[in-house]
Formats: sequence, structure tokens, C-alpha cells
Amino acid sequence: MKKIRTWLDDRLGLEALSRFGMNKEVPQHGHTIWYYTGSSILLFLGIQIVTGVMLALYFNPTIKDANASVGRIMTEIPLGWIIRSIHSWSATFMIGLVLIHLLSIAFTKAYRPPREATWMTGVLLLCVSLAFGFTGYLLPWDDLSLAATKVGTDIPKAIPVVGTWVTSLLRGGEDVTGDTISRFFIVHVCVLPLAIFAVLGIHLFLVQRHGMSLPLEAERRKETLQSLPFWPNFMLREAGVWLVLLGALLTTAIFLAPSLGPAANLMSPAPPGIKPEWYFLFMFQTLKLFPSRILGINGELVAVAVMAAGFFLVLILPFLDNRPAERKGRIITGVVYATFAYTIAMTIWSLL
Amino acid sequence: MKTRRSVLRPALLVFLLAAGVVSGVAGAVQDVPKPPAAKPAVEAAAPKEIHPTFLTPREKNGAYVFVGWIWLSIGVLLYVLRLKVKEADRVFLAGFYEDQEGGKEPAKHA
Repeated sequence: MKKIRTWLDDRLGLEALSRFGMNKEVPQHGHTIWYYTGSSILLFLGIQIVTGVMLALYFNPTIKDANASVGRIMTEIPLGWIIRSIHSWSATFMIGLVLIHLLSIAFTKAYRPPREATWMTGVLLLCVSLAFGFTGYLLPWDDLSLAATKVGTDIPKAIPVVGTWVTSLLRGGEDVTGDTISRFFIVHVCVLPLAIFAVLGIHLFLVQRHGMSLPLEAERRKETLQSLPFWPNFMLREAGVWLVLLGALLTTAIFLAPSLGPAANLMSPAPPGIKPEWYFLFMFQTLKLFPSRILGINGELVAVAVMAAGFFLVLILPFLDNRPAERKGRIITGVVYATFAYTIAMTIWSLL
Repeated sequence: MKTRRSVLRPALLVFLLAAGVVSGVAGAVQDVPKPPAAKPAVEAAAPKEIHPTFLTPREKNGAYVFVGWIWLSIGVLLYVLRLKVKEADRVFLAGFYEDQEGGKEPAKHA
């Protein structure tokens, strides 16, 4: 056993990895619990990859077979519906954790210098995660997914000059068709994974480079905080969190598995009560609130402009609030709380 | 002049009436009831929603046992992890890592 370990260490440098883990410090304080969200996202990303590969073995991304192949996965392949359910639920868990992670960074103001780039890559990772959700929603090709994708891909049309072209690029034509499924499938299994690995690599590098952030209060008071080595002390605690999350995921996936609607009919009208996935509901409800025309301008264009501006402000948040630790930045904190409350309220309203 | 007009008016009325009757009869003749549409030889199956379910009772029982086993294992592993965490913290606070190359002493964040 020792010989194997030495052989592996000579080739892979495992000892150096272990030393790196022991050198890496994790501060211990009242907000330490938020540190666990980052690694838990990685856990769910791993589950997404494994279950996604398993589903791709049987999925057929054509207009004729997409729905039938998902139906086959659910009814003929042993435990296929559980794999599909785990894939679907781990996406929900992952996006939920990404949002919690982002909010925890926003509330603790961990985006302040020198961590601006870490925040921006984190926001990009959220976008990639949402894109995963959007492209994956169409793949079962049922009435609901078709209608929701039509609504979603219609939104860019409101943008002047390039809007129609963007919609056409997303759909692979003027309307959502079989070409859209092929396009979304390729983006879902090839383009987005490459994007997430690239941005995640930069994000993790930046986290290592700048270390874990400290609570604002501690930095302001120049408090001395106890810290633990990442390996093994923090990793053992993290393993406990992973175990509980895994148990929750498996239980949810088995008892609340998603169903599959009948194959989408391109000629049939949109079914009543179409809704996107929960993480798009606040945008969906916001779009519904805007009137068709505002001061003579297309209401949808105004809504898209407002949401794009909101996203841009989130992206550049570290440059809007780059005060030293001594300053609390109460206004920005208030805006973050208000945005959070608005998102929750719109989501609940959309569900009612 | 007056006599000519009085002859033409009834003649026009009679013509219009006759034209209306003729076109009505022609319309009625053309409204032949359509033959019933031929039924397809095999009626297309109505699209159904697929609800996820266990394929066999054995699979169902297996899933329940699996969930129970998972939570039991998690409970045991959490207990073991708790002991390991305590041990790792004790070793760290005792300054064991100070002796190792590249190891850290209990660090303080300023």
C-alpha cells in the first residue's frame, strides 16, 4: 500500500496537494456556514454531469423522437425515471445554491476589493447555470416546454435592430422547431459545459488567490479570528453537509419525480397557464406587468431594457460599492434587500 | 310617360321576386348534405402524460429500502465524521501540524 502511495505521489504530486490543503485556511466565525454553499454547488454540478451523461445515452434530440425517447427513459429503462428526476432536481438544488451563494456574498459584502473579478465570474456562472436550465427545459419536447421556450425566445425580439436575428439564432429559424431541439441539445451538452468549466476554473483560481473573505464587522474592528486548515478539518465538516444534501436530493427525486407531458404539437395553441422554471418566474411576472406601450415605446422593450440594466448593475456591483471595510454601504445593502424581496414577491405572485 | 312608368315598376318588382325565388331554389338544391367523413382505419392514440412510477413492485420496494438505507448510512457517517472532526481539531489545536513541512500552526486572521 505504501509502495503504491509513493508511486502515485512521485507521478501526481499528491503530497503537494495535501500540503496545499493544510496551508489553505478557512476563517471560523458566525458566517462560516455560507462557505459551504460554494462547495455544495460543485457537488450538484458533478451529479448533473454524471446523470446528464446517463440520460444522453438514450435521449434522441429530434422533433420526432425527443418526447418518445424521454418517455422510454421513464418507462422502459430500469430506474430511468429516477435518473431523470435526480438530474432535474439537482439542477434545482444547484441553481438554488448558486442564488444563495451569490446573496450571501452580496449581504456580507465579500465582493469588495480585491474580489471584484471573483464576484463577476460568479455572476457569469449564475448566467451559465440559468442557460443550462433554459436549454434543458425544451428537451422533453412536451406542450409546456414548447410554449415556455417560444415565450423565452420571443423576448429578444423586442431589442431593436438585432432582436429578430437573436431570436432566429436561438431557434434556428423563425419558429421553435426540430432545429431548435438540436441546437438546444448541443448547447446544453457541449457549449455550456465548456463555458462553465472555463469560468469555474477562473473563479476557483481567484478564490484561492484572494482567500476566504472575512465578515465586515471583523475587518472593521480588526478582530483576530481563529482559522482552521482546509484539509482535513474543513473538508470533514463539508463532507457532512454533502451527505445531508445528497440524502435530501435522493429523497426528493424519488418521491417528487417530474412527469412528462404529451409530445408537443407545433400547430396547437399554447396550453393555458404556461410557466417557466421557478428561477425564471420573477422575470416572467415582471414581463406580464408591463403594459404593451409605455410613452409610445414598446412595453416589452422597456421591460427587457430594465432587466438588462438590472443584470448589468449586479455584474458591476463591486465597482458601485468599492468602499473600504470601515464603510458599511447601507444604501447598497438596502437595494440588495429590496431586490431580494421583489424577486421573492414576484415569484410567489406568479405561482398564485 | 306616366303610364309607361306604372307598367315598368310592377314588371321590375316581378322580375326581382322571380330572381329571388330562382336563386333561393338553386341555393337549396346546391345545399346537398355532405357525406360523413370516413373514419380513419386506426384511430390515433390520444397523447397521454407519463407519470413517473416504479416498473415493478420489486423496484418500488427496492427504492424505499434504498432511501431508508441511505438515511441510515448518512446518520452513521455523520456520527463518524463528528468523531473525525473532533480528532482533527484536537490534533490541530495541539500544534501537530507545526512539525510537518509546510504545515500551519493555529492561525489567526487579523
